Amino acid sequence: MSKIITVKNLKKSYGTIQVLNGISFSLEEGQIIGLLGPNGCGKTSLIKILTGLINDYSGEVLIDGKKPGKESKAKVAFLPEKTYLPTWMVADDAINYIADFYDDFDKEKAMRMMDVFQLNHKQKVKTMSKGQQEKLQLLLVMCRNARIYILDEPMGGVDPAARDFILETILKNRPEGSTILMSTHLIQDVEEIFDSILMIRQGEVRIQDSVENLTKDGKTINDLFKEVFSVDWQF
Amino acid sequence: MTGNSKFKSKFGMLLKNDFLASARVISLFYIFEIIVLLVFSVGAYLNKKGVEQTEFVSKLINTSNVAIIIAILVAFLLIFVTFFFVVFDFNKSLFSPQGYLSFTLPVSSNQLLGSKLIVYGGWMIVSYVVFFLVTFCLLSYGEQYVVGQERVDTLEMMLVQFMNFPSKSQIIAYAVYYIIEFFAMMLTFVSVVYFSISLSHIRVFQKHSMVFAVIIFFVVSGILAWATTLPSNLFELILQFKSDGSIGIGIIKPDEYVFADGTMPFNLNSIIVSLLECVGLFFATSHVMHKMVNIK
Repeated sequence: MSKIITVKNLKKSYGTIQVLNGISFSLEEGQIIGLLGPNGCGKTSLIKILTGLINDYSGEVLIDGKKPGKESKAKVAFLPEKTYLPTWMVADDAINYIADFYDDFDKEKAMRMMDVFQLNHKQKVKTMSKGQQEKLQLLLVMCRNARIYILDEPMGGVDPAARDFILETILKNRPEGSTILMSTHLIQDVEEIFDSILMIRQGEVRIQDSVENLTKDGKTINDLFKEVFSVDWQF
Repeated sequence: MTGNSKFKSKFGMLLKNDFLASARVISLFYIFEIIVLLVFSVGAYLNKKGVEQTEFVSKLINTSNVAIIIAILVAFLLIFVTFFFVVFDFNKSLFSPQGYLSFTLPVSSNQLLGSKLIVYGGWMIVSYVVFFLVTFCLLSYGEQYVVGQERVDTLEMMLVQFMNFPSKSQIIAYAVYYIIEFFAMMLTFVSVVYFSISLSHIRVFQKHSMVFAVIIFFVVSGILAWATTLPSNLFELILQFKSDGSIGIGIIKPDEYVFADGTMPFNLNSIIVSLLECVGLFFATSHVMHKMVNIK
């Protein structure tokens, strides 16, 4: 399998605070990778760099062989933690907007999924509940036939029933051979879908391995997470 | 699709979506302006035709008189509405959570900025043009209602002077010069606004971004005002339109301002400096957007 994301000696600081301390790793194409770590460990900064939202960093970052930019953005489908759609848009406007910019967006599928998700085509984003907005954003991301999906806490702040719905939507609509990098705190709920894990602690890669290797002695990913990070919470 | 046509189509999509986003609000004011102008036109037509003054007709004519004032006020308001959009929509679409959408589109910072500059710069120019046209036309037409005879005389005198230019080509040159100067001024203004907003979103200024945007705007405007006058202290680049239709260009010192009769001189310094400032600000803003801003 080829490497779809390669990061070498990546450093990022905000003033005097170093959030990424020269991390290096590479991710194989076609896998579902769990990006794990506590708050403030550098996950969001890493995601922002991979998606081209942060450009002032040192080190090398390659997405399918190219630096983050116009070309990589066309290959990456990004679901941020925040709701980001302009509030004046109706759902159909949002679909048309994404269809305008991404050649890999399947508009017909999006229209069908609107009904499956029980979303109103003509409802303004402003009048949607947070759950409806999140459904719409998930739909916009998963109706792309992208090479890479970067999902930042896709199940953060939703109830367990919604978690199952989100997870199922991601798995059912993911194109074959695509790569998913998913950051999450809810390890127990999703660990069975991961092929490999990238754990970050204090701006450094703590663990990067396949789930198969990490769990061969009977431990779960959740146990491993507690083992690695419990040191940060000791009296 | 080739890389170049893809580039153009994505930029075209940016223009389309920026236009649609702004038109949904700004167009409401234009529609209202058109309705007011229609009311005025009907009243003015009835008045001119000397239609029998029934109660309805006289009410309509009176309403149309008020419509003159409303039309001018709405046209004036349009300038502020457009300015509001230049500032707030740029800020919201790029530096609020909407930035997660804008900055992850497969387009460059130059394209993002260029699209907004064209669309909102265009709206600003159109708003000013509409204001001047509406004000000039309505004041000229409604002289007996809202303008004193003295003002009408002044307008007529200006027109006579304008028509007394030695040649038609000079009139056209005069108009083109001021239109270009106006465009350059508007583009510089919008460029400074965009630069100030973008720079206010780098990490050090972000906490009080609105305050810093205002401070940066005045500092940059001050520097540019100084820079604009700087070349004129040394030399002036002059474009001359002669009465025979020929055009001449030359560099003179400020104290050498003597021209032959019938020659119309235009100082190109301010236009050139303004355009250079626009280009400089465009690339500076694009760099700040690409390398320095922090989307919260």
